Amino acid sequence: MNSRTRAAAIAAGAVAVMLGMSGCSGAISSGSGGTSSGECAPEDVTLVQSGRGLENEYYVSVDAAAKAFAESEGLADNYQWIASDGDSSKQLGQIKSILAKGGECVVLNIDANESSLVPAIVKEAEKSGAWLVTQWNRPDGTSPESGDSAHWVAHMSIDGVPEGYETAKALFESMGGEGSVVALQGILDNPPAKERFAGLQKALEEYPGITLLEDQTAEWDRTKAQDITQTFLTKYPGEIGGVWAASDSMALGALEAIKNAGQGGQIKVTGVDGLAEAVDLVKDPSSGYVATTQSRAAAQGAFGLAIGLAAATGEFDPAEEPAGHRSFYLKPVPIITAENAGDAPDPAAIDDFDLSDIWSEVGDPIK
Amino acid sequence: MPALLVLLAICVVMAFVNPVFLSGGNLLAIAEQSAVPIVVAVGLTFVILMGGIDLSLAGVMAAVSLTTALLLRNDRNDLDLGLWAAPIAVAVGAALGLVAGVSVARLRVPSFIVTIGTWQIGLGIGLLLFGGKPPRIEDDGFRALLGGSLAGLPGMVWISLAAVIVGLLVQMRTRFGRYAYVIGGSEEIARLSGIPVSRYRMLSFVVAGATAGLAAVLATARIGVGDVGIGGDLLFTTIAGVVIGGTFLTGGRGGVLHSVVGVIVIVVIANAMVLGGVSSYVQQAVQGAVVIVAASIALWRSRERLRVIK
Repeated sequence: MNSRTRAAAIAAGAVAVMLGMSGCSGAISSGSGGTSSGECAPEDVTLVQSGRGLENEYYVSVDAAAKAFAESEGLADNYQWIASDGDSSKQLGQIKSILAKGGECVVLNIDANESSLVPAIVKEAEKSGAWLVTQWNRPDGTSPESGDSAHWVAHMSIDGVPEGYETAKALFESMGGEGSVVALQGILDNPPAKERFAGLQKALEEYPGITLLEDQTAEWDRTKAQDITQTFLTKYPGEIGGVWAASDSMALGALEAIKNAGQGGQIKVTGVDGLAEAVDLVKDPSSGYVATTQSRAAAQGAFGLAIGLAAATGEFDPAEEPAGHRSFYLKPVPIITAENAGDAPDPAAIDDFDLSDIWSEVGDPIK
Repeated sequence: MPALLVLLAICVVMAFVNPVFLSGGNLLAIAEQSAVPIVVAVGLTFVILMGGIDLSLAGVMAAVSLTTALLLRNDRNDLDLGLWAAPIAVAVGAALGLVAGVSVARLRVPSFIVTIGTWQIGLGIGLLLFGGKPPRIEDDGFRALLGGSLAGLPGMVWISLAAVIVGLLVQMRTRFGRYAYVIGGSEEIARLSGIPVSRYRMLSFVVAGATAGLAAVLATARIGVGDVGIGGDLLFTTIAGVVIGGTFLTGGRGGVLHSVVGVIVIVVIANAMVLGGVSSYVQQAVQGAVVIVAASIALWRSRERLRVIK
């Protein structure tokens, strides 16, 4: 505990100092921050993809898809992956050192470690005239379209509401629209956790025969989900017909608890994320794992870099684009159920995308 | 043992709030959920008794979890060592403990910083072995052995009981156990009495590494995949448990049984909050508050006038 809070305090301090420094540096005129459209030759571009770390299946897919996109453009040697390992100051430090080297021909596709880090990354990108696309996290009230800079090209996310809603509906249908469920939430202040839970509640309104007995957070953690589900099963003996989980890792933990209680297959489970293990279980109707969602890792890696690259080479001027191209959700895709689990796409494959049209996966604008 | 009183108090309160708490099924669930942190706490106790600290748990468990999954029959390679996977995995944990022990005892680096280092080393090994997708254990026999019932209790509960008994025997019947109290009480006196302090201190980290390794084998068998994040939250449970149990962080007081009761208190708090229907939004804060209250109650009698608290 001690070490963790101390590390967090030091990290926060470091970020604050960096913010302060970048704030002061406004007085120094920045080299190329003023130009509105890029003038880089593709071979001079550095493509950078950053996320938490490769101990996580999702980021492995993002990295693979981003790399595949770089190869398809003949830029495999210009690609690099940065792991934040959950450390904001480390992520910002690495980004700064890359910008110092590559300047205005750097394309960044960044899943920021936390929302509050985004303004600092935007500032760094503007200062060196680089091109930034952000994923998932950003603080409320900031967006590429509200700034006066073209360098924060776009912000891309996935709407958790339909994910939570569609998986909940699949769960309720598998229970015949009658019975009681429990819910496992993600870390409560994460936007995906909030959105997915809102989707569950929307589905509950449409199914009057279904009661939500209780929801608890298992913080995206598999073991915690197993412990909480075990406790739910003793608390509501014989009552639970389904477990709705906000992620596959939690759903897999819940399924383990259900199996150990000798009720495997009878109590239904759903998750979100499209982990390989979950997709395999969905294929087998007797497992009780009813549904998960398709992973959008490939679209996030490939299109994030594609949009940034197009801005850097001057194919389009971000400042001229409509708001719906600057902050958007990816198009929703059908969830994975027993019917279609057999042909679920590989989460890292980019062959099915039309990458010549960089806006082809754009869905609703983020408000 | 005041921690027992805390445990009793929780049981009495819960008997009124939700009688399910004392049902056989729930007690079994608590036993199974306590098994992993109890095994960790048995080894950690010896480090803390000597006045050291071991923060490397999450890293050691990451490395051992992946090792275990890859040595058993799995969907990644052709290895199928069955029961032999367990001792090898425990040896990996002990080896990481040895690295920490040598650095503390021979290089004279404080254990706090050394074990942050071995934590990162362990995480690194876990990451190397992870390779993009969690390796799935396909050796159902091995998993059934630890998860299945044996005389009414899951196998992992028996193993945690065995770990506690061995820990108690080591604490009471061996030189290592008895000297741990002397070293923690006053390293100077131990040195002047001719006890090879650094050797025993080194050994304490090996023991803690080995038990963290054993805990990782149990936890991995329980979820069925090798997982780098498997020990993420356990440090809070075990260190808080050890302290509530009445083992002083300054060393010299406490013991295996104290720690075990303390860990059970922490697990029971989490279980009781779900059974009591406490909202997720306040649980974390409640858990922290209960820990402070429980620690104050448990340590009330040890408030000697001249005892220094840092």
